[in-house]
Amino acid sequence: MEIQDTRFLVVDDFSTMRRILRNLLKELGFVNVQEAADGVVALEKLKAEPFDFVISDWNMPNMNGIELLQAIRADVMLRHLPVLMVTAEAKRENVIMAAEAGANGFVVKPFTAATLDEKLMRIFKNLHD
Amino acid sequence: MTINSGNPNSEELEALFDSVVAANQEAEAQVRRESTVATPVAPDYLPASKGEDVDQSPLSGNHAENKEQIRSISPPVAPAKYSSDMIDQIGHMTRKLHEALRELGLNKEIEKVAASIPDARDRLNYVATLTQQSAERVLNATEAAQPLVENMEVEAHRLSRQWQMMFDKKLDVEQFKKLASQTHTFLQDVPKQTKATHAYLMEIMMAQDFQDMTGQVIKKITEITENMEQQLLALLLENAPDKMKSMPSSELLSGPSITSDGNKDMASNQQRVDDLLESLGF
Repeated sequence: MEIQDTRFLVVDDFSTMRRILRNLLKELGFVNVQEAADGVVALEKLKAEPFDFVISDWNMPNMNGIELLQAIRADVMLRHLPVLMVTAEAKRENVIMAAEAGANGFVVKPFTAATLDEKLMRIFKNLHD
Repeated sequence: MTINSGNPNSEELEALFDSVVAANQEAEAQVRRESTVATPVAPDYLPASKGEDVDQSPLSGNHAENKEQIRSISPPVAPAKYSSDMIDQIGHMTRKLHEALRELGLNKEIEKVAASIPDARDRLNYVATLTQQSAERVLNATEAAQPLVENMEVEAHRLSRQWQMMFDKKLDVEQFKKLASQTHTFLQDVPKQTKATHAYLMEIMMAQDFQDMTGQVIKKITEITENMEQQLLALLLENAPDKMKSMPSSELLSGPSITSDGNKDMASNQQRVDDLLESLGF
């Protein structure tokens, strides 16, 4: 599979942020992007159809990003999925918790297109090594 | 969104609030009858706010100044006696409130609420800063992109007119050669200009990232405000006349807890977060 064919799921409760992420991904050459407004919706989508990459916010209603991450890691079918946390929750304990829960990367809001690009590329590189 | 939306107890609380206020006003009226003249809490001679007030944002802090202006326009009809009575009364009430607070141990609760006010203020400042930065980024990018688009438009029109002249057989060979060369240059230049314009459009898009941040901050401020309301209501209830005390008060004190994040433990920039992750072996 070509890297540009990666199927992304963008999870954020703010539609503005989902659109920004979608546009940034498009800018980086990724056009296969779907959206979910919280962890519950995201998990349903992940179980319903195949995805290759999850980008998730932390602070969301119903099921937050860390719970989503834990659910993904606990699911045999999904546990291999790379998860990039994109969040304003930038406290030490948040970063540690995300790392321990198995996040593949952590981007602090507000971020630049270059930062997102760099984190994505690093994750892709680690996956293929 | 109002503070009370989604709170099933809000109507009940409001009714309770009103009845407590009414009871207190009755008690105050008693005090007033004992003094020689009734003291209006809000001076009647102040005209209802007109044009001057309308444009004032509540955050501007000029409200008092406006009232001052209005007061200076209208003749001061209130005799000096009114204000000294009022000050006496306010002083008396403050003393009573202070003692009641101490006796009831409520000062600790109020202290907590008061401590959350600077936090809310900081958060609001943060919202103001983010939205301003965003507006400036958008305006800058727009102003930078406009001339690029305009120049392309002007040049395209000019070349188009020349080509029309060519089709009308009004150009000689030399003029045609020149037109062909200019058109080629223009076509080479357009992708550069559209690329630059595209970058400005991306900049405008990225400038919208404040919405998600401010949304979260405003949600937290709503919580703080709600807690303040709960605490003040509890205070009011504790100081209500005896007949009001039979009303349930325990639930009033269990307002939403505020997790005051503070800033000291923030790993707020990407570099620090990356360093931290690296130190953890990720």
